[in-house]
Amino acid sequence: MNEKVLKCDRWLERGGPAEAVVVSTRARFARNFPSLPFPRRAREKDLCAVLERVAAAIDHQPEFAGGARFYMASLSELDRQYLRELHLISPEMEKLPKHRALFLSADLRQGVMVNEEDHLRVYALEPGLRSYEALQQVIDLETSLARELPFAFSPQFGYLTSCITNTGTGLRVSALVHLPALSIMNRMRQLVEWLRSQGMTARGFYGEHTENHGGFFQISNEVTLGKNERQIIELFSRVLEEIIDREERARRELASNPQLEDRVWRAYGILTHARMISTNEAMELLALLRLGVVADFFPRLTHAEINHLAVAIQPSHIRAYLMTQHQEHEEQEFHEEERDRARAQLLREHLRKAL
Amino acid sequence: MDEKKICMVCKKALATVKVTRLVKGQVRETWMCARCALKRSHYHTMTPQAIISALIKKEGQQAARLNEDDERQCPTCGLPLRSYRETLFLGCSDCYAAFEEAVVHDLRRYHGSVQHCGRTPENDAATVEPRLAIRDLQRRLEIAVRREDFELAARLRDEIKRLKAQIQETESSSAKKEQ
Ligand SMILES: [Zn+2]
Ligand SMILES: [Zn+2]
Repeated sequence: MNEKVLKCDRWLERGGPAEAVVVSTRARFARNFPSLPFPRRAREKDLCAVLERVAAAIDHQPEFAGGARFYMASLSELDRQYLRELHLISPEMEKLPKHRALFLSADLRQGVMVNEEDHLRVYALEPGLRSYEALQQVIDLETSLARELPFAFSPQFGYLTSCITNTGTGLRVSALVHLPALSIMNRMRQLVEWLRSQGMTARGFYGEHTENHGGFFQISNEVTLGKNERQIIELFSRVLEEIIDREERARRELASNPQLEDRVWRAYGILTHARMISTNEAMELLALLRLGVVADFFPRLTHAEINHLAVAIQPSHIRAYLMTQHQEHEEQEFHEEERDRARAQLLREHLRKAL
Repeated sequence: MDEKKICMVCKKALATVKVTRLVKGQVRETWMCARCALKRSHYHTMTPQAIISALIKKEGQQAARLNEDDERQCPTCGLPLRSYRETLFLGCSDCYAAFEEAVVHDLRRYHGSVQHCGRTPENDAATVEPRLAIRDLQRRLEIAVRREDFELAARLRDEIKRLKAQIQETESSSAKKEQ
């Protein structure tokens, strides 16, 4: 695997405000060059030209000196999966790597995805809940890039994007939140409905479509046109406050439930003793473990560590872990069984010290 | 649609979409306006693009028929209007002008607005008020203290301190620039 890719996991280690509920916050702008076909419709030479122009502009960004430049086509499938599991690239970038790139700042807080759905997806990523800061970071980067790159803009429609769902500000603010208590108490439906009434959406984060493992959700704004950046971020912050409040209330209600205590300890028992475990099962059990941390059952386990484990047990992370175990440098496929064993081992190593 | 139907959800707008669901083995039909349909859980697991194309396919046949005859293409990228209608992806920034009526129609339906208000390439100095962020944090701090969650309170306090320092820093650096 690529050394630089492996090191990208350090962005999550920083931890952040409200990390007991909010794993990370992201703000991104969709931007395009005028009169040049959008990536889906562009010819190869257009895509190459876009890559070159963006790379040249990135050269002038001081934050990107010493950062990473990942040309997707020259990364292995495993590298790309690893970046996607770290939320640094989208599933689209992972699946179709040709002529696509990710540029990352040295501190991994800012990034530019090139030739994804739009020519540029400029983003800022923060651990925990730091929505204003993420927005400020992405505004700074976009402003600086806009001094060198012309972005397609119309006074009526705002920034012009490949899909009309991003037109206007091109701003999407999102948070990855962990809501095990609301999920266990069957209050997610209610929350999702309320979110929709506020112009926000919630999507299950791990697992496909409606199936969601472990109560991780991605919350984001829907409307990008007719509201300015400040209105969008204010709505986002207000809604996130409410989500945190509801989840914390549900956690307190659960804390006094003797059945929950039993479930948490059973989860802990499996996580610290199982010899083989699937990603899905581990995610479900980590959700219970989180509630155990809230209830103070595990004095030496932190919320940040659970956030970290949720990523560390994902498939490509387990493959990377197996490779270091075997001291392999060449990439190889491992049997599912072998990965389930490695996942169980990694969890035991981390959680042994939880008490 | 022979008679004009009113949305069964908001009871205000004209219903243009029929949402069919299977409830306990019974087919249940609900007529809705596009906005309400967008908000329904039926569509929740779909991507925004899929939702809109589903809506567009279901919406008044008349509009669809009009567009079938429209062989227009974007002069810059050559994208046919028909293809935009199917995918909701535009081909290039000039498609917005080339297919203006269709785009305005869809933007209004999705965003509830067709007028941008926000940053422009000219006012690149726009910044977020860190003061607003502080206000939010202070509210959370109060709640945390009330709940006696002192670990969280300490972290919120540090965050507020950091933002205040940041404000001072930007103020002093802009003061220097003015000199
Ligand atoms: Zn309605
Ligand atoms: Zn075009």
